[in-house]
Amino acid sequence: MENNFDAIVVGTGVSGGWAAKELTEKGLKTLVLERGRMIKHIDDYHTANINPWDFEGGNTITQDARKKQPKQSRTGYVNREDSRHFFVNDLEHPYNDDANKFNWIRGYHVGGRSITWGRHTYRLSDLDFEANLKDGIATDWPIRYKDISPWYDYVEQYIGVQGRSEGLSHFPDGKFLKPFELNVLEKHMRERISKNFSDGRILSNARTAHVTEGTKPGLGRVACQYRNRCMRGCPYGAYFSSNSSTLPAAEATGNMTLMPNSIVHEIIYDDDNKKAKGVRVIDTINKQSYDYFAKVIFLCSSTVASTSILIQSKSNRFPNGLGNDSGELGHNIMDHHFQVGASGKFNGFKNKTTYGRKPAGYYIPRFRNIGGVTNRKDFIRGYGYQGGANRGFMSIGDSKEEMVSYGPRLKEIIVQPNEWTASMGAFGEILPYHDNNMELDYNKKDKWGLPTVTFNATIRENEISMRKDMKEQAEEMLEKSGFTNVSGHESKYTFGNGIHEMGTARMGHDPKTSVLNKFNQVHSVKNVYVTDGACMTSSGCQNPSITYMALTARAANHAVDELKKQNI
Amino acid sequence: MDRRSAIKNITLSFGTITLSTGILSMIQSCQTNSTDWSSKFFSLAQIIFLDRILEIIIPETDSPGAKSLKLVRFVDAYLYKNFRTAEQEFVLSTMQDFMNMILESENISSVSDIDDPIIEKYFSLHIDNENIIAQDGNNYSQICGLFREMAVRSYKLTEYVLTNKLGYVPIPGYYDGNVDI
Repeated sequence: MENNFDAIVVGTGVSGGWAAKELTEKGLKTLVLERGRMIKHIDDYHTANINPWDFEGGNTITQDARKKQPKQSRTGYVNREDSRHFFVNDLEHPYNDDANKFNWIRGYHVGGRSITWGRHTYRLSDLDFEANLKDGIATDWPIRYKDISPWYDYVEQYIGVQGRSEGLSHFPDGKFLKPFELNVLEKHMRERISKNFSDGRILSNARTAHVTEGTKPGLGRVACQYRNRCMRGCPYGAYFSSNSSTLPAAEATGNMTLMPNSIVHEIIYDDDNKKAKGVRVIDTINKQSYDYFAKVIFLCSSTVASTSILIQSKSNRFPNGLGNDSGELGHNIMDHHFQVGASGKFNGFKNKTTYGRKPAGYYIPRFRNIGGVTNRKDFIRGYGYQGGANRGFMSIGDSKEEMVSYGPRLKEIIVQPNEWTASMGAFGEILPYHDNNMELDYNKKDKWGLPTVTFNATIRENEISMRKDMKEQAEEMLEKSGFTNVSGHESKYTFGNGIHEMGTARMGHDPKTSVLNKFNQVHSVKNVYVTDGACMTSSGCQNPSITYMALTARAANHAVDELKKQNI
Repeated sequence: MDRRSAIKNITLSFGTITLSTGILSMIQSCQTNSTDWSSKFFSLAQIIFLDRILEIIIPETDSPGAKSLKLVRFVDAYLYKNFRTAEQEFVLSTMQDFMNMILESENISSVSDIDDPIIEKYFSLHIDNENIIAQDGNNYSQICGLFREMAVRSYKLTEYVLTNKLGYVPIPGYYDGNVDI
């Protein structure tokens, strides 16, 4: 097989798909390497059309799943029967978290987590891009909102994002399709929260990467059918995945060579020419090693994997990993801490219910530390809430009111509509602490002889103080919206459980304190770009995937320009 | 069900349960190579007993009950696939004790010879009975509570109930957040 290309893209998830699309559409012969197996859009969504009654014993995380995926099981949901095949077997893909538990939740297949992601998309703003500089923390982002805004527009218009414009500078509006409708109770909550809080907080529609009108480019992407089975892969292509959207675009150009079952473990550095010349790959099927060469390399294999490749890419010039002059590679790992919020019952709208299962509810954007009265003394940065209201059906507990334990009347009660309930859970920013890190253990190797990852990360005082406020505010918003039986909840957060791990090869102005420059190029190896979560300089509280897409599209177009100018 | 595994299932039922013609006919159905269903978790005697308890909890009325909806299959699969080993052992041993207790109390030799009112008598004694729960060192209240929880869970996951009672539509096509009931 040919082993010389114009470009190599490592990874096929949210970022890799975009890199593949942009580079191939600009005429570059591009090798796209994916460590996992092939997943064909629709053909390989084996559980997409299974109904609840078809799952023998229910759609649960089974004991078999717990044995084979003990760490994926920690989330409590990702590896239920309908989606477990999209998450790794932890026994075959081990990692080390003895010091502090870390939940590294992922799957190895074409499309990566773009098949299983939560699909929420919220832009960062200058409140986020300026935060490190203003707080004197870590290092400044080398970009501002104006640099990325046109690329947010670009990617959103391509993939389709539904949402409502709100005109808030710290919650920038996007190029939206019509939003998923708020239901009667959610509309009531929106009105009440706006009226009862003087700090400008609002309840808005969640913004997600779903097509809600018309079509979008790809493999027949049409509007959402409100089945809420997204995580299984959507046969309608109604939410964005690489498989339905960007990879088909790349394939259509004739410039893409897609190779699954290919683990990239090293970038080959040319000491004489002082640039990267290719990648080293292990074929997972035949276990043979191959080298592939290209003028430009995009690392888009997800934060931990991309960073791992850089660390393994040692040479005389880079004894601590490619581009690691700063010593920051592998450090500053961030996530979004969550699993804290509140729920309650609502004694109203008794004659109302809903039809259809929309895949997203509401979002309450950050209202803390955005200036003026919102600024806190007990923590910096902020959080947003995801939530929803719905009307379920009665349970055994509801029958106890009538002292009915079993029999015909219980049978009647349990199919009656229950009171409306709502809940909300916050996602909060984690600061970039240098000693929150990942490193490679060369004494514990995987079945391909590659070092395994060791994580060591915890949340600190700022996040703990924030969590207290997250719970209190959730309770207060529900109470002031007329809910009863309001109950705050907080579960212990395990680092990584937000499945938004990021920051271990951060962008920055200064090569002494960062790995990447403002175009996502490795400072000292300008033909290597890193555009997945590894590049993030701060986490914000917003779900990050749309930012990865925008940065990737921007970086890919930069790379093409640089190649034309022969700068790389 | 394979004849050998059917006998194996019965002998696992701790020796106090003897066969009746009902069970014998079930085994004989093996000779027709029926592949309809076979339990993975409960013994044959336990399946027969559980099937009847579930019907007491969710009976046939003007709509199907537990037996018609074959809820026992869901419960068997659910406990087999999802319960941890220690939990499974608790369920099996407590359920067996409960069955044995009824047989001994009523001086009956076979599960299939217990009338439904007798089963109901013991179920209703132990379910939601605070006094029994307080003094119950035999966990019968717990096992009866589990039966009921499983009955309700499995009932609400059947195609019949989801589509006819709970308004489930596989492909809704749209969302309306303001529907009059």
